[in-house]
Amino acid sequence: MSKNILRVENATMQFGGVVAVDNLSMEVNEGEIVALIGPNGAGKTTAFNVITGVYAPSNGMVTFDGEPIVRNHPQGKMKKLYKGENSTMYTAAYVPAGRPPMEDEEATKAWNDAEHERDPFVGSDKVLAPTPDKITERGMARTFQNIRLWKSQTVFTNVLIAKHMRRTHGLFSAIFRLNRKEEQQQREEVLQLLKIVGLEDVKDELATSLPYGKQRRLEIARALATDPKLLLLDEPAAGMNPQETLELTKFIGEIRDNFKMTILLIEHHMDLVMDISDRIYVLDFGKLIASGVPEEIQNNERVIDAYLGVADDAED
Amino acid sequence: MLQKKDNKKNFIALIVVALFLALVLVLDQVIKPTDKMSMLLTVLQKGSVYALAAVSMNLLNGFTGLFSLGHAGFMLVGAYTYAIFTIPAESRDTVYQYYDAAIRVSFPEVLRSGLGSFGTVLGVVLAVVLAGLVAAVFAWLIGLPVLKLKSDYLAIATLGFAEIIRAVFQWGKLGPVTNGSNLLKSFERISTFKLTVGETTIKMSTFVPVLIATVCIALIVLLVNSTYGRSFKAIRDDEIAAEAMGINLAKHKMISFVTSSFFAGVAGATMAMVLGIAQASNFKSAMTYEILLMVVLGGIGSITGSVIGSVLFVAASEWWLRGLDSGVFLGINAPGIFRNGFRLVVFSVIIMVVVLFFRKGIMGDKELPDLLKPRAKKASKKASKKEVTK
Ligand SMILES: Nc1ncnc2c1ncn2[C@@H]1O[C@H](COP(=O)(O)OP(=O)(O)OP(=O)(O)O)[C@@H](O)[C@H]1O
Ligand SMILES: [Mg+2]
Repeated sequence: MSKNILRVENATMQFGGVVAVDNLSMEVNEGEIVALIGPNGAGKTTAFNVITGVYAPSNGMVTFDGEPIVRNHPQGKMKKLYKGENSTMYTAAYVPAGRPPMEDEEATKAWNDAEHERDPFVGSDKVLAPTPDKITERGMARTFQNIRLWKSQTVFTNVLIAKHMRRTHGLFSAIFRLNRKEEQQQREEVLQLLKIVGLEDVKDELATSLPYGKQRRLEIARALATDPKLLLLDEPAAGMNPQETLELTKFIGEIRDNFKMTILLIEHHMDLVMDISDRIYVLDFGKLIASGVPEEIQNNERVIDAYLGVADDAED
Repeated sequence: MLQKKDNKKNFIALIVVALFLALVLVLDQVIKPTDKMSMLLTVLQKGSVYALAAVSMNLLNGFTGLFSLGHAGFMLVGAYTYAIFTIPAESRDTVYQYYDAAIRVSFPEVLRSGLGSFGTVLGVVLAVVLAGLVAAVFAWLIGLPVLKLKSDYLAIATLGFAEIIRAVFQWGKLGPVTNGSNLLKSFERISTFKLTVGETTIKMSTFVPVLIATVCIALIVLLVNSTYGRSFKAIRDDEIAAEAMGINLAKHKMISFVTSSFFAGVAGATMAMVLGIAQASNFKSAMTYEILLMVVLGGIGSITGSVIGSVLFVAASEWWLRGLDSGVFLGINAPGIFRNGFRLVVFSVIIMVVVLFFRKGIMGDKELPDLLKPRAKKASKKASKKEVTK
């Protein structure tokens, strides 16, 4: 088995009374295409938002490429407030895997008395990536379910802006154009990328003037421009007709092969999911109800009840 | 090929700007202060100040999408910094008549003693740059807490900052530095900007403010078209997407805010040298609104628009519509209608009409070169079609 690139442990995301993601644990290995499926409102997008650092989870931890990137642990500036006598306040909310519920006093006591691996982040100075841009910098890029292209910019510039992060020059060099070489290099890379995704002929058009399917492709191109190791696709085939979906399926496979990319995707088109996924996780009401290879999922009673049975109706 | 085309375009732009500056220098020599056309010089002087102020505001409000209303505050800081560091020693005590002046250094004076008239120029330049830097430092300090706020709150917070700054600069306790609520005067101003080469004296009272504005606006153009400028636009268009694509929001917003304030400070310094006085009570929020109006009239997100908007604004209010207040307008003599205040009425109507018919301002989000583009595009399309049919 190849190396594990993304690991989500006990991720919980609560919005007031709604538990959008409930104790989700999953992992993605290098080179895999993994799908996250489930009915509308199951918490798939929220899971993405936790993984990419948009939301700080109520509990849990996300490890990327062996390093923890997100945790319900005081991060960045907040961290200072929770040092010293307050240091247990925050970590109390982190429920390590295997700990019995608080109500079960006896079991809790036994668990507390037993030897455990010490939580390496309690009181540590290690700053975990606090904002989404830092996580993207580490090599994780995403697309959005409700397309979020920069509407005043052309197709070309949309992808070029995503290269900004990889600059080596500072503000002064940029203003006085001392970064010409780098800029030229980036422009060529973008052009190359647009060729690969098949948007070269529309590169000077406004991003939002493209048809839906091409906008989704552009979002993928933009994400690829950040040189990620892991690509998160949130419903890349939404709003596409069967023909376009078929092309996209092929395209995602090509991305994996050509870029040696690992892909985690959310999708409602079951043909696509079953076709390209190596493994599938199924969410329902925030909880993981099944995981496994496509055949297992297709024959799983719970999944059929909760989702697959109605999936055909849910699709538009 | 792309770069070659760009180089050619840049070259043409550079020549146009140089010609414009030369023209201004000529106008400076030929137009006498008593001429009717001397209004043109006034418009150029004040127009430069407002054009720079508007463009720097546009950098923040138009290109980065941060709706800030603190511009007058930063201009005030710039104007005072410039004034304080260019008052000559002999006038210092007359200016600070109620206080014991704390800062007693005048850059132009110090440098003049060593370098002659070139020293004066250098001193003025230094004071202008310092004015920008001090404004930038203020921006950095208030940017730390304020830039986290979302649109409306940011506007309110920056507006509040500008009002507080105005009050603080008039505060008696700071009198030794700011001269309290009294105005600063007798510092280096445009009417004294001359260069003597042998026998001839070259007047530069319009040239200097125009040059300052041109250089600063050119820098802003370079910034906006750089990789940082593109990221600003990304933040404006969709902040969440920008952050997800690795753009550090806090850092880039701060860069935009500090740069914008730096140039607002320079605009304030230029305003001081044009008017010859600096007084905190002049930098009211109404000034910010006026600049905002110029930005909106010209087109939010267009530098060309901001320049056109502000020059037209200044020309209309200072020159073309003057007659509406003083009895005679376009040869019509009607003192009954054209009396004090009527100018503002007409001015407001014009602005309303412009806003109604140009929803996105005069230029929208287009720049000067964009206006020439469509034709070029069509031509190239035709050319490519021909190739295909062949
Ligand atoms: N920012 C938020 N504040 C409050 N509730 C939220 C927020 N984001 C998501 N939710 C809630 O969390 C639940 C899960 O939403 P989510 O968008 O993750 O579902 P999803 O699985 O992506 O659904 P879909 O297939 O429709 O995209 C929903 O009930 C939603 O209302
Ligand atoms: Mg979703």
